[in-house]
Amino acid sequence: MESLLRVEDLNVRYKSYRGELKVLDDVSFEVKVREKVGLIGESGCGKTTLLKSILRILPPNSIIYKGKIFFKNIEIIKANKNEIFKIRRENIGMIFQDPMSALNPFFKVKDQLYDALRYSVHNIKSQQDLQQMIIKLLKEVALSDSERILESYPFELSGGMRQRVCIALALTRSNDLLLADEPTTNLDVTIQEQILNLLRELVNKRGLSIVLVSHALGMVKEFVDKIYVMYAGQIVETASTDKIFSEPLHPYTKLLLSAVPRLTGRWKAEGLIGRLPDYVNPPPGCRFYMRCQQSNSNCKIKPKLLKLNKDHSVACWLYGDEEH
Amino acid sequence: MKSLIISNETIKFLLKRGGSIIFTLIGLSILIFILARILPGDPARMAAGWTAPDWVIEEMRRKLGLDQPLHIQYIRWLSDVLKGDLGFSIYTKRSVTVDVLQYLPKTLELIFVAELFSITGGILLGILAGAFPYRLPDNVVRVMSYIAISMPAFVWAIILQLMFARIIPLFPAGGQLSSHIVPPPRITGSIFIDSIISGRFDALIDCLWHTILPALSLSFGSMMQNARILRMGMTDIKGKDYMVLSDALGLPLRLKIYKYQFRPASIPAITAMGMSIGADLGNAFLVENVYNWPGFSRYGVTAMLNKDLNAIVAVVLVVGIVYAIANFIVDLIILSLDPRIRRMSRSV
Repeated sequence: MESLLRVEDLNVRYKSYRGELKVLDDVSFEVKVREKVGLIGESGCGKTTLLKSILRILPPNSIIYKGKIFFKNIEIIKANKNEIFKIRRENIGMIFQDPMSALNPFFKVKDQLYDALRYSVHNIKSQQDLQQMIIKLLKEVALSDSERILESYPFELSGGMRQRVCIALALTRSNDLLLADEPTTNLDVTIQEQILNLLRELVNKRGLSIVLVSHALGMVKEFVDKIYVMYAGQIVETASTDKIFSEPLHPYTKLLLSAVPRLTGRWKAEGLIGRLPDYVNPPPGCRFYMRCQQSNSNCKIKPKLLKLNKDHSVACWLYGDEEH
Repeated sequence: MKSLIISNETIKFLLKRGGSIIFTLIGLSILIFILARILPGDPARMAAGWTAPDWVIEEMRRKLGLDQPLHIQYIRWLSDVLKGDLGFSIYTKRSVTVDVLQYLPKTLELIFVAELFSITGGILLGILAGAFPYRLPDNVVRVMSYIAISMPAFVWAIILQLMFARIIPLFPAGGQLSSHIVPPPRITGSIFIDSIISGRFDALIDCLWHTILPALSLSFGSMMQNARILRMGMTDIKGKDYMVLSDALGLPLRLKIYKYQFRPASIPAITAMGMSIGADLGNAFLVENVYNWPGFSRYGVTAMLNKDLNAIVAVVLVVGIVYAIANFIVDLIILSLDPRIRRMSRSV
């Protein structure tokens, strides 16, 4: 399969009063055409930063220190404003974590959808065109009462409805790739499943690629083909979904999987001891070193993401140590 | 516009606001009525003159109604006010109503032009600074606002008068009309309106010409204050999730700033603008003095210095009414801008 998005050795830092927060550290990442990729890891490990750097919508205190991002042969970091705007309007759509705050409370849903469509790739000739397109779009995200929803302000809608509107907004953009940043985290459990099913349906129907960031590992498992595991701004392991769940290699992946409470069998979950390292002075080697129970003296040197076989790579000294 | 259709909630909101304004004004009138009477100094003596014998002072006291208990005095005064009679001024020896009608329009003209400057300037500078925080325009606006806010309006009045009336004589140094212009016939007391009604455009232009310097000096402080508050709102909104979303959607910069960022950011700034109208009415006194402007603030200060009770109460009441009207307008604007208040009838 052809590569759609390729991130190479991306380093993103944030300026702060304590010094530079070295968040993303040599992150490499790939999404192929029509591929569903999952990105997992605990909160604060740089997943959102990675997604935002793809669209170049990082906050102003951020620095892209090093690295390349290729989207269909366009180098996003070096691209000029027009190219970036073209990608934002035509190729990549993003869904945000909190549908409660992602819509502007001062404008009707109608206004926000109109503006999104007006500046998109869609060829709109008349007001009727626009109207029809919006109704079709709302139908696609399973919002049936379109008349009422268009005339509503975001705060008059439920969380699930808002997230559907956000998905509709993203759909006006994503002709190639959908970036979903924990799209279900802030929703009711009953709605989470619905939203995820909707996303799967849309991605399949439209033939999109998707990057799904989520904490809900059970849901990720059923959704994606490939998983990247991130810890403290580094990709520690990547493999096909089956491999990650059946034979996780990196100690962090193992711990992360065992931290999920299960309803069947051994239901008591093991929490992870300790917390993320300080990003101002991260450990020079493996960033998981301090919390790892299998660490040894090698771990003070940074391990490379090592390809063990066709679809399984891991960055850990426990595997293939002579090749690092 | 659909958003202006008046719903039940809107009417309820307006009635509530209107009611609270009336209560505020009644409270204000009681407060200032009592305050003016318990301040040291005997108004009857000042009215009768320093050399008057005691029996003349007693006569004057009875004539002014000052021998009655306070609540009787207040009720009498209030019923007169409701009839449009603000009492007799012991200083100008005229009806206070006549004085107010003569001086107030002149100051309102000045305030109107000053607020025009302060609101348009505040909005422009605020957007400029807020859309590009910590860059050149923002830094320039910040330094300007420190200077403008820390210097009182009369200093600006003197500086501008020196610069643009004396060193570079572009504008007249004072007064409201040049001596060679015949004033328009008095209809409302406002030279602006009177000259428009009577078609005297020479007088209108001359009057505007005279207004620019005092209005500018009066507006500097509040203009920069407005700019600062709008700038703060803009940067606040810039970090919101919905602004990141409009970035992600690739919406054009103009649409993003003027529509999605400006409207939410304008709410605190508009509130501040309403407050600054009242504050400028107070600040106007020294500016009116510097520019020899025959206005209301000067009248008010003269009244206070001469313990002219009815005039003091009238001045404070008028300032209170101007405040109340300004804030009511602000509430209306915010109501039309913020759907959360409109649709959920939450108080501001």
